Amino acid sequence: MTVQIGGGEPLARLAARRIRNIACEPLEPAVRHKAALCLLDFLGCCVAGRRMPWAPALLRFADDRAGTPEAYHWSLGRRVSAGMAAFGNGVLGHSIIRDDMHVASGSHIGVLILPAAIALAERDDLPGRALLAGIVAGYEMAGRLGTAVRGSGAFNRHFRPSGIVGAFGAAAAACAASQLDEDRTVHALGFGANFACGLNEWAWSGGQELFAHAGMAAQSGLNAFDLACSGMQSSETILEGADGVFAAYGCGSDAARIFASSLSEDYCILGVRHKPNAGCNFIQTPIAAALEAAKRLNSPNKIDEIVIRTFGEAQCYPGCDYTGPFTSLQQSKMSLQYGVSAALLWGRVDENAYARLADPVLNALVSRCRIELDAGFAEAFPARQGAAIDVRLHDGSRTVATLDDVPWLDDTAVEARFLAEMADYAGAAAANRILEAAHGLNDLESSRDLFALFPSRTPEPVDASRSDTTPRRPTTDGL
Amino acid sequence: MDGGALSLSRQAIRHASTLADRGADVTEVDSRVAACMLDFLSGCLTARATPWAPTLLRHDRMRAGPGRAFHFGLQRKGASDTAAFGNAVLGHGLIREDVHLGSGSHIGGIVIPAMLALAERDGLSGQDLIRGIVAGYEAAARPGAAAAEDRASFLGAPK
Repeated sequence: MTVQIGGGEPLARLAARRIRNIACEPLEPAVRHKAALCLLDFLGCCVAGRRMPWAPALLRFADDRAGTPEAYHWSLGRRVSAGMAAFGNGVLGHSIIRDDMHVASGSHIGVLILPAAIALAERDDLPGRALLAGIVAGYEMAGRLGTAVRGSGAFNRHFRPSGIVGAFGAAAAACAASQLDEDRTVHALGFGANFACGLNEWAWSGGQELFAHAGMAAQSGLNAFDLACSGMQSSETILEGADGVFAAYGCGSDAARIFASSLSEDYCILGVRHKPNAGCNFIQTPIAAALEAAKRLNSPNKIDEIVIRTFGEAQCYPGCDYTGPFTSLQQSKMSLQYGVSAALLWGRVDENAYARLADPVLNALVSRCRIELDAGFAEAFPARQGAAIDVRLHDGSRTVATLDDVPWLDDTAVEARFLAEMADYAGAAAANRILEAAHGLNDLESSRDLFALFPSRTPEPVDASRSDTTPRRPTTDGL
Repeated sequence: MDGGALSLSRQAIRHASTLADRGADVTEVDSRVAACMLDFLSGCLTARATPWAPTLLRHDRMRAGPGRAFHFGLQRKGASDTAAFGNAVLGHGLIREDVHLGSGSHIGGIVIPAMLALAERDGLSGQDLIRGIVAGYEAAARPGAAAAEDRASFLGAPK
């Protein structure tokens, strides 16, 4: 695939050509396979997300605003407007913080672009091949933009990378899936860039807005696409312009060059990775190393000190170097100290472990953690994300476990996880049919044949003990 | 107003709530809200003649659906979020709507369409609508003004 770079053409136009290229040329089998795998991993996350404490609130929100039934909503188990489906499935899919990872862009692209692509495909009855092209293009544009922003040497870290790239990528997905012409694709990208959202304060405060980042990105990407389809026009220089994306986020001067040159590289989606555990990307290797160390530790209660060796990006990412107090899953799933301590104490880091926020033994271990930066790990990043856990006991003995990268799940493991989670929700037969349909998407005349397999069901009654006490409608006294 | 450990968001809510409650009983605020609303509405109606209005209406027509909120471009009621979006785009169409100099922001074009749509959707009273608009101006103006106060980094005037 080649895209002409340079010649003074705006970056959004070059990007639009790459999108058109993906939309109109046959996709290689490996790319199609990866797109299906990403879709399955996302659907598994949606199912798992239904168990989170805020799921009832999401259910209420969606139920109130369902609109015209156009696309399947995994929380409601029925069809709602495409925009609401994109939003709700984005929130749900991100809810366990286990969705896929594109390291170079620092973004969870799947939950940003997949909800938009599948909502659009169902709404507009697109062929399976079109949906695949949309997925590939969405990963491509979100990944390329994020890599340029992060790889430029500087950017404003108060903005969340997934938020910066999300609507841009989702708009790209919609354009490719619909084979939109070049001009309108440029405008859709411009609106998508303008619809970016997401700050990083949640990582410190434990707010739930990070989940909305994903939903907003997907919904806004669809809005961007629909606006462009209707004829609204945006700034063609939205990326490189004087007040464009790279300037606004304080990116280094290399961002435009990185973006342009990356458009002729291999498919971005092939670099997407699948997490072994829920939680931030940067805590994956430390947790895996700690789980290794835990196998060799007899007495976690005799630990004197835990040294977590990592690299600067992991330590300085919002919420990662945090020792509490822990009041939410969002905090425990970001904290290096929490994840490592849980692994050493319980030998597992699952939803139950993340939820034991006030456990005194766990918090005692957290307080004994110390982070050390390792030059070797720093040099290897972002290609590899190494970590070492050095556990020092009262008797002077040490247990050290080192991993040079995240033990990302391979294809088989991703599918096995999907089948287990989907079978638990919809039955083994349905899970298998969805898996087969996802891998056969390229041959489906209508992607609705896949969506028809999604289970229609009435949501379980809201468990009052797990829900918040927010009234269905705000009261009108005061504000 | 108590400060201390209260977050700025919580302080803002209390402040806006107090002012909004008071505002609904103060004639001057009342008439100011009315003036802002009328200015917004006339901007909406005039902007229907702009070159991009037909594209906006094409977009909004697809998404208007059923609902109780009036869309000034479509001249009919529909979904509240589409009405809020469409009326805000129209209201900003002439780039003539109100401006709050301290924050460098066009607050009316944002707050008023949201409050009109919400008020219609939920059947709010006139007094609630006024309260919401006052609080919206307040909540938008204060952080905007705080950000703009650092003149060294305040690079531009509202466009």
